[in-house]
Amino acid sequence: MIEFIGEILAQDFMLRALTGGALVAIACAMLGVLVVQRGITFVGDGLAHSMFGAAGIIALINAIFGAAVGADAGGGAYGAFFIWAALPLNVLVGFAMAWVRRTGKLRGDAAIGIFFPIMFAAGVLCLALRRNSGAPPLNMEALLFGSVLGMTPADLMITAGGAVVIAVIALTWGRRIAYAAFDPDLAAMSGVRVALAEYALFGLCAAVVAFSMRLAGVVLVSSLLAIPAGAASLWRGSYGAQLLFASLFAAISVKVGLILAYWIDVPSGAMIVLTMGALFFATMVVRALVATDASH
Amino acid sequence: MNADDNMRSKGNATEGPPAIEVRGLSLAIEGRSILHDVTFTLDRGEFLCICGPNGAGKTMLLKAILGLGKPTLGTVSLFGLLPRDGRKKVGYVPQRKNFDRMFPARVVEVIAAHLAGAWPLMVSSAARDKAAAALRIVGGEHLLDKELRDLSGGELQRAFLARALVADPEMLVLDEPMAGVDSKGITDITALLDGLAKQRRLTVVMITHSLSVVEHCATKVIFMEGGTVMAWGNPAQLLHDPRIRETAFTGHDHEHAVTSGKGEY
Repeated sequence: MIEFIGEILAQDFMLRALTGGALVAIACAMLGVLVVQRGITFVGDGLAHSMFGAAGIIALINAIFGAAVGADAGGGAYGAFFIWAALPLNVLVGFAMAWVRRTGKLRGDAAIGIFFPIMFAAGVLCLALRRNSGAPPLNMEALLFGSVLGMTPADLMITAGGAVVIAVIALTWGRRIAYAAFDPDLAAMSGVRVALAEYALFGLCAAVVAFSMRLAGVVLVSSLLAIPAGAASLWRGSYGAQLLFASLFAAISVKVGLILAYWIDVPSGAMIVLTMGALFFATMVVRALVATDASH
Repeated sequence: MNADDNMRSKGNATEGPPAIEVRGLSLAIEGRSILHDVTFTLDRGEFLCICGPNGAGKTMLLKAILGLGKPTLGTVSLFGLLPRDGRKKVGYVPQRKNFDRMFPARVVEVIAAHLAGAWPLMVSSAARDKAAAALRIVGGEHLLDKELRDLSGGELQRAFLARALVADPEMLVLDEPMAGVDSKGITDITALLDGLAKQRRLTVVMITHSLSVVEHCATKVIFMEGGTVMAWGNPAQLLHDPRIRETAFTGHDHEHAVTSGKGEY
């Protein structure tokens, strides 16, 4: 086993995947605690699918105005362009969700559910228009399912940088978002700008989803927001303790999932999500045992 | 004499702008009128009780004063400032504790969050000391490390009262602080508020259905009905009106409810 771990660590692409993957998973977990507390867990799925739409729109613009390229969108050195170009567009979609949610006074996940299919449909439409224009085909598989093992050094720099910035914001300014999630009126009375906090939460989620595309892809990325935070919420602890638990849970899941994926030779995104799922249910069992113990 | 003149003539005016100045305030939510043409001025150091039947617009009036509800017409100033600036001098105890019950919140964190304007990752020893001191004032020191979801109605009121007091406010705004509190708790909180108002010269604004609280504490009373101010003045004047006594004090006045059999308890 030690030899096997040594073999993994000798591979540059695995080191990049383990480092970038863990950092982005920690950033997701921190925002996930806020998202779960705010009762909008679906935001991860909504903004992940809007990433597909945003990448489709960028691909069409690329075909119309640029020297159209064919690539794995989200995969490989060149394909990553579609993710980074779609990131600001996805942040705008996040702001739009928050705006519709606030001005339309929509409950819970309704605004997210409205944007989810609209953006996904926009992506399908843009890719069809791109194909009709005669531009080289774009393989969306890497965007849909992730391609963390194909992360280049430049990708790692961008991903790690983005993840660290988002994690720092979650630990500092994000505490105002947490206060607004606890009680918006009380937070406002303590000087929190509640509307700004809501926009910031959606914008940050849109950004972290974009940074996570390489790790888990459109289909699986919401698990990075939901599962570690869900596991943390099983315990009675302070908000700070939940952030710490979710972060550790996410980092361990990514590392274990990546190593298992390499070992068994299966897709890494799926293995990471299944590892998180297994750890979540293990946490539930431990939680139940602790509760039973305490009641005796 | 309008509400302004009445309040000013009897008030203990102190230096600076009045504590609250409301002029022609109307507020509608989704086309439904909640408040209509409310005007009054409250001087500093007064103890104002806002009374009226359920649905009279009392809570929305408080929220509009604090800048938590947006007026459709009219103006509000707090200590001569816009509500969002003036409310920094206010300690607020909401009626329904609408906080997220699943949020991992201990009393000390709720109080520290008010001091910091952000949810604490860890509570500093200075914030902890201040929280303990505020809880001591309300007789709730033992609540410091308890989780909010484990507290009774009375304990929650004490915790939120401590939160309101911790930043040394110039005004306390309380929305039915006696709701969900047993009779012993009502007596304690009434005595506490009365004492705070007198010792610290706090301005107090409180929505209440408790006749005994109004009689014991209030220096001014507003009677609301149908989203507007129907009557205002000194307690002695208003409490003389049998209609006001009948309609405003049948809800949450524990003592009154028990004896009359008309209450919700």
